Amino acid sequence: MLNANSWKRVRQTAIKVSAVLLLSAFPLMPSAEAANDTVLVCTQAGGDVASAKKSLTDAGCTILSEVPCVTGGFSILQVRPNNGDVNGAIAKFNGQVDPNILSTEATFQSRLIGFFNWPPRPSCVPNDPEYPDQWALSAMNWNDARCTLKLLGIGQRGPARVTLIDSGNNLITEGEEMTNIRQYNFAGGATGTAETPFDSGVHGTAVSSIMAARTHNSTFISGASSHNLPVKVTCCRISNDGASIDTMDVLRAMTWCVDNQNLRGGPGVINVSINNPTLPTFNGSAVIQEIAKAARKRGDLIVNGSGNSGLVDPTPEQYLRRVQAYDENNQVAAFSNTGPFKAGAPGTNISVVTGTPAAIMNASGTSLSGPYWAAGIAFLQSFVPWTNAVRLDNILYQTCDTTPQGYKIPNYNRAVVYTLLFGWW
Amino acid sequence: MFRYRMLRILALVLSVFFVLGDPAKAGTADWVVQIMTKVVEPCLNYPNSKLSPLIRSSIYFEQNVLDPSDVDRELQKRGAEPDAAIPETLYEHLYYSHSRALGLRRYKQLVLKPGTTGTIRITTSSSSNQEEISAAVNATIRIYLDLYLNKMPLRSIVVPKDSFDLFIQGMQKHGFRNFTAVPGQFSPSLATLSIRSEPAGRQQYMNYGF
Repeated sequence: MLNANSWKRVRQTAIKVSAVLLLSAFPLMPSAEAANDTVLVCTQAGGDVASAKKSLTDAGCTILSEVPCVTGGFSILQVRPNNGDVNGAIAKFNGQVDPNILSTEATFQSRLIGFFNWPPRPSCVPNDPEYPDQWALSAMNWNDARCTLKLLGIGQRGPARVTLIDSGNNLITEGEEMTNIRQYNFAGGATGTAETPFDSGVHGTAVSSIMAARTHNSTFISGASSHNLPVKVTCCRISNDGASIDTMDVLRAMTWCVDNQNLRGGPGVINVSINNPTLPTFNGSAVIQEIAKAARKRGDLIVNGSGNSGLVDPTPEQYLRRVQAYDENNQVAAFSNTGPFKAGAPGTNISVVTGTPAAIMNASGTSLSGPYWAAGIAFLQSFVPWTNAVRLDNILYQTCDTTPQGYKIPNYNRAVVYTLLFGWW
Repeated sequence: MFRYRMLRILALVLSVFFVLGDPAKAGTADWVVQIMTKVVEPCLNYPNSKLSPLIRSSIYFEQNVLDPSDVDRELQKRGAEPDAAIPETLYEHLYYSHSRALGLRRYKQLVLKPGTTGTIRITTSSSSNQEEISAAVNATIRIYLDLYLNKMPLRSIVVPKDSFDLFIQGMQKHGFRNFTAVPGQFSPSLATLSIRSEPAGRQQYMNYGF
């Protein structure tokens, strides 16, 4: 039986489906047709406007509006021929009916240039100076996604939100590259004390910059989650020296993330670029899978770099999204852990921003491929903020390209179009 | 509940069509810039010539397009211009003598699509001719800067395997330094290049000045 709640969901779904169909029905390019069957009549400078109006009315037209120009001494009249014959009216009124009428033409459309009247190749390449070194973004069609969004005139509805569990996250104020950060401390047994953002090493800021660096601000690099808005970062710091990590702190941070979704801004992606160098990996841990399961139930998704030991990790895919690293040729990097999973992202020769003062650094590892996957989810979520990370991860996975080895690499362009069409609920 | 389920199923069916209808594979390179070096035999080779041998680096570019996806087709229906494949096009000739650039003749604009990625491929007529390799190295660096300026990220530089060591030495003479990519290690970065051999087997990362 349908209860009130079910009806509400039915109505919402019907509205969303109708909206999608309605959107699809409209051509995105406008046709250059006359607007609403009216004509524009311009009176002679210094002429008798009242006489012109009378002539038009007598000739079977309705005057809809008037724009007088005091300085020029003329008026513009919007007129509708009662018989609907626009062309006939234009031919009739052009200097023949009344000497007070200067010209008559069909009413034309006026729209802001660049919204629907798209240029053939919009410039969607960001102006961040290090962007040309970010081969990974182009490899995932990130720039094409920006072009598509620009063509459709769509911007991010809200800031993308990401959570990371790492060594901390420096604020980078130059060009407001990364300033929207909230940080909580879990290092040394702490239980999530709010603190001023800082990085106890360089790893956390580097990982975060891949996702959250502000795009198109003429500073450093482009962040994969940022299109036209900055990214909101929640950082759980689990190291005091940037190197040593206590597994219990990581587990406490992961659990806190699941329990404190509101503090993180709602359901979203949690990036954990940390792993065990030997088997079992995080994916093989029952405890971590249990946390990941609880996270999934609440719409959160834990994304984990598969590890840099070059191992074959035989544990099955469960609740964690494991991400392996690809090299510049879309081949699995030699250092990347592999196993019975297909998800991956670029992880070699990656440009990041980190250090004090902030500078461009280069690094390789699954620590960097994980955030490219997580950034994809956050990027998609910024267009449909009410959708959860699990669903968007599914969309990202389904729309992936296939590498020559048969693995999956995100295609941001396809994913964002799919999300705009089907990611509404 | 039934109607709600039906709507969900309808949406899922549409989604499946949308996703499965797109068999596009990830290309390993959207564009290729080819640098071919060769000694210009009958030129400037008079007795006691200080400009002989004259080396010419011919630089070509081409851009491939993948089969249009459903998304592309949908956008094209709505007026977006499809990406056009650019056949192999002569970009410029660079002339060298004794590792010094003598001249440039440019034939076209570099009209590759900004924001797309690709590779530089080196071909030399002789794998042991030091001067040819030097010319190839110099041309590579110039093209890299050209691509950088035009916002075209470079995946890697592909060098014939038997010229690989000479090529790396040539890059070092221009201030590039080898470095080993150790996972998890961060190194200062300026113009980090991935150089690999063809056939596969050798790979080297280099960055400028560190």
